[in-house]
Amino acid sequence: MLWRKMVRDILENKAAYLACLVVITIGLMVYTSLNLTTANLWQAKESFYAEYGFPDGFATVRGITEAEIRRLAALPGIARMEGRMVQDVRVIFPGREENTFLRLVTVETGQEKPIVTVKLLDGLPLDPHLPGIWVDPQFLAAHDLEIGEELPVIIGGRKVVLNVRGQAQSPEFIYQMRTAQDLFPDPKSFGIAYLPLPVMRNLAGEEAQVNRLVFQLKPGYSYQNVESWLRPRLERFGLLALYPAKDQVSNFILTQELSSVEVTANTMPLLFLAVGAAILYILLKRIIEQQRGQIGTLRSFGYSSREIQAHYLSYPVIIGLAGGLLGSLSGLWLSFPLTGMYQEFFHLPGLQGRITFDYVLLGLLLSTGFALLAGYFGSRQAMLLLPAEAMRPSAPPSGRRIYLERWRWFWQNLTVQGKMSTRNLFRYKQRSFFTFVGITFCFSMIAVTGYFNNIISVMIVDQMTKVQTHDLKITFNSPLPATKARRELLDLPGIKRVEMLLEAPATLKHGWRERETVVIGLGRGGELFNLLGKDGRRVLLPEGGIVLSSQLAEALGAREGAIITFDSGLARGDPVTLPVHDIIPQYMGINAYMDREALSRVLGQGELATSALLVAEEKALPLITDKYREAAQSPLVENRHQLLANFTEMMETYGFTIWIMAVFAFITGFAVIYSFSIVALAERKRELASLRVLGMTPAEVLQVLTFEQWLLSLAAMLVGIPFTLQLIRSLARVMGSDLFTLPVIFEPNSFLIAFAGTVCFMLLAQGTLLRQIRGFSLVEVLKERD
Amino acid sequence: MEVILEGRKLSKWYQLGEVRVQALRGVDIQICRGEFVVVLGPSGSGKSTLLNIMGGMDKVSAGELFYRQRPLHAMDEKSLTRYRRETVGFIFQFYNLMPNLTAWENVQLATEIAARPLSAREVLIEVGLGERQEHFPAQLSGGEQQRVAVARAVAKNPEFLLCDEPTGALDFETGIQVLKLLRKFNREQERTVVLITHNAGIADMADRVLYMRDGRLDRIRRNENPLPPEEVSW
Repeated sequence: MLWRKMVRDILENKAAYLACLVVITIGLMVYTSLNLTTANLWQAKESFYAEYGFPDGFATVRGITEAEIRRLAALPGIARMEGRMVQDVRVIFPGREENTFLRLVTVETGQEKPIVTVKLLDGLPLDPHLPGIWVDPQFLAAHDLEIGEELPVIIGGRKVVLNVRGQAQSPEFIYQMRTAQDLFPDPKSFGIAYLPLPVMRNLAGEEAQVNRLVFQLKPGYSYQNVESWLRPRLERFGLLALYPAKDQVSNFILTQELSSVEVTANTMPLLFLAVGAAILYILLKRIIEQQRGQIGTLRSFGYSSREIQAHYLSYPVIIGLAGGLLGSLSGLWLSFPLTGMYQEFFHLPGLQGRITFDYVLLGLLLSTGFALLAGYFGSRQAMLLLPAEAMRPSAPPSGRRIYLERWRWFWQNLTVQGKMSTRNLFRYKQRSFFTFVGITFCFSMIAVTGYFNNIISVMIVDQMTKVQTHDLKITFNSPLPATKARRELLDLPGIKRVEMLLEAPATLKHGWRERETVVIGLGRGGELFNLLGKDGRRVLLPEGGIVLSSQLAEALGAREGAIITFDSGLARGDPVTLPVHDIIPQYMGINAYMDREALSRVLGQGELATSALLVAEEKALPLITDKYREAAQSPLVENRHQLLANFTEMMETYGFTIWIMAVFAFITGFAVIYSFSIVALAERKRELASLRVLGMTPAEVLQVLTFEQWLLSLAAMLVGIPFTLQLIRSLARVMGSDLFTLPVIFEPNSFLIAFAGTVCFMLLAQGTLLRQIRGFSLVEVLKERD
Repeated sequence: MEVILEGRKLSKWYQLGEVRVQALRGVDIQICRGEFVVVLGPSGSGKSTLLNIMGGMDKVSAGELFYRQRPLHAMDEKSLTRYRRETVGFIFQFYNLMPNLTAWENVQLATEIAARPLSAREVLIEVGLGERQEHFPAQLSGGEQQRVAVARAVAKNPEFLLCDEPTGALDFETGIQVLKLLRKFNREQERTVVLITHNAGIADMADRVLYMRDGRLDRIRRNENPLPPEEVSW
């Protein structure tokens, strides 16, 4: 019978319980879908790595012979070592203005079990005698290419036609970015192609050498052991980079992305569940207060307090179970499209949604646990009552003066409803507190979402408008004498300004800490690449020091004035020491900056440049691009405006997904305000009906309830601002990496959006409340016995 | 006659802040098996407190209370619950039915936890509500609701019924019907009934009347010829 009572009680208050159910469902949906999706991704990644292999270490050198590789492979700790040729080549797509690159990676065709096997998804095997390639499926899809089609590319200044023999994928290139500085993979402008080593040799010319090494470690050896033996030996071959598997770009980003989704999957739902539990707690306290007499009656005919508590626990538990089940199952369903979305980015073979009930069960346990906690605390107090006490109505809440009344100007300007409302705020402290926390949470969630949406633009737009102000960037295939190259560029038609850059891969050391990075040498008095300090001021490069990005400084543990050691594969002499002149915020990449001439001196190679920044008349831009596209040395020409446009286009395509969280927060905010209002309405029905009898309109009566909500929400939003910043700070710590840092800044737009969202969900909830007040039967309400 | 409930020097006080409110002041009481006892007194005389204590709903502050030699004053909450469950049936002034359970479900709610319950349906027929079993309290008149409450108390098959102003919210005719039911269960099924009221008219149907005033048992009157309920008037 108590079961029936519970079901009917819930049905009587279905709107409030439904609101709570929705919040729990959202929490569980996020929990199950994200966890399942990451589990799918981890599993696909691990099995792909396990089946097709993944090296323990990577090295990039200028050139090395097969014989040397065999010698290195015999070093202690190295189980196997393989060399490859890797070269980025430009693809010629008639009519396409933007640069398109293919990274040609050689594969072993004869070897039985190489360190990494490229998985042929479709098509024919590679032939060491034919200029055929396997291409990654994203690139093929992005360009509507079919197997069997021909791709003209420029290798070593020659136009060569390659035949697409199949589509294939390697564990090393799941996340395909041309450089670590790119923000996202763009298969329209960059792809991976695999071809046999002899074919590559044939195409690239006899002087081309193996420039990449991958190796596997023997059991019992760590990467650090092997690195210390390998590094000095590789220096001779122009070592540019040596890094372990965890730092390999594709692997790093994939791991990073999965870890950050995992963090979201395990924290965000807890917040929703906590809000859901708070609503349940308040609802249960209310129902117990309302049914005080019924509890006394049940006790009088022999129900034990435990049986009664179990009865009242069944309310939240049933909601928790229902929300858990709905949320988990919808999360299970959602994990399929979500996995599909990730598949678009990662293209992991074997990645697919799957039905597993582990997370459904875990989710159910989680939501039921939260509900039980809410139920336990919500019902505990009432169960301590003696039956005779329970039979008596509880003492009416005391009406007393509150602290705010001392603020005379404030208090005197309040309407009577305002005064009632403000006193209630302090009378029902617990509910006020939960409302406050609920609004703060929802406000911050919307603000964080807005922040992410805006900040990505800020990061890119800042980088592309304030830091970099050129029209074109030309990256040479190999370093060139700076003055001569500059003069040649200045001769181009329509050129207004040319600035040369020298980008040198280097290892920076400070104490025991060291970091591989790219040191960028900038010309003195340059205007096209501006280093900006914390306060937005321009940082001038000193003649003899180095400027570090804040990420890099942190990684090296270096402050301003610290002395760091600089070592580069490009340098002729021994490592040199440099003072840290300044530390600047840099959101994307970890770079260090030096005066170009100073950097040239340190490298001891004469005055060199690796790229040039250009400003030219608008009509001259396509001409310059075309000219370099056909050039023998085939440098890379990037148009800053084009990059910016590409980014904007991507944000327009995917930006909406960020807002899903904000929608969830909006619904949660509505649920909190709505359910708490319903409770307040039920509690104060007589009071409010009396006001109606006195002649107040429903809207005036509503003010008694809403005024306190607005007061609370104002306070909640004010507190929400520092709370949001703190949340962003924590997220920035979790999500930040070498590739990018999330700036923790006050971003007014996102707070404005959160403010608008909060006002909207409150108005919406209050609108439904007004309808209820209008529907009051005054006679019925006033007739009811307390 | 066999004494089933005996209280000695029962006192009860409530501490409200610094004020101590004395509800009972050393009451001695005996209730015999099969008796119909009316406790009469004005508001605030302590009769409800006495009833609550006899029913195991509240505990004495001082004194001893025994039910068939079992010390109610020393029982923990668990034992008191068992006592209420097995021995007592309560009837209240405002019926105290569960508003969202039907008449039958309300009775069934009590029988589900009883050791030797009667059939809920049969008891409802007995109180004249055979046709109204599936109605919710809001669909029943006050008298009908109180009859459901009587049925609920009786269906547990308790040894005695404790009634707190059972006719207080009813008109005269309906009140008499409820009293008739109580008398019927008292006489035909030998259930002990203790009824508290401030309505002196009802005292005429009691075997014994206990007069309370200011937390004390003022006097006891034995009715040699209790009137049948239909002859009672107020």
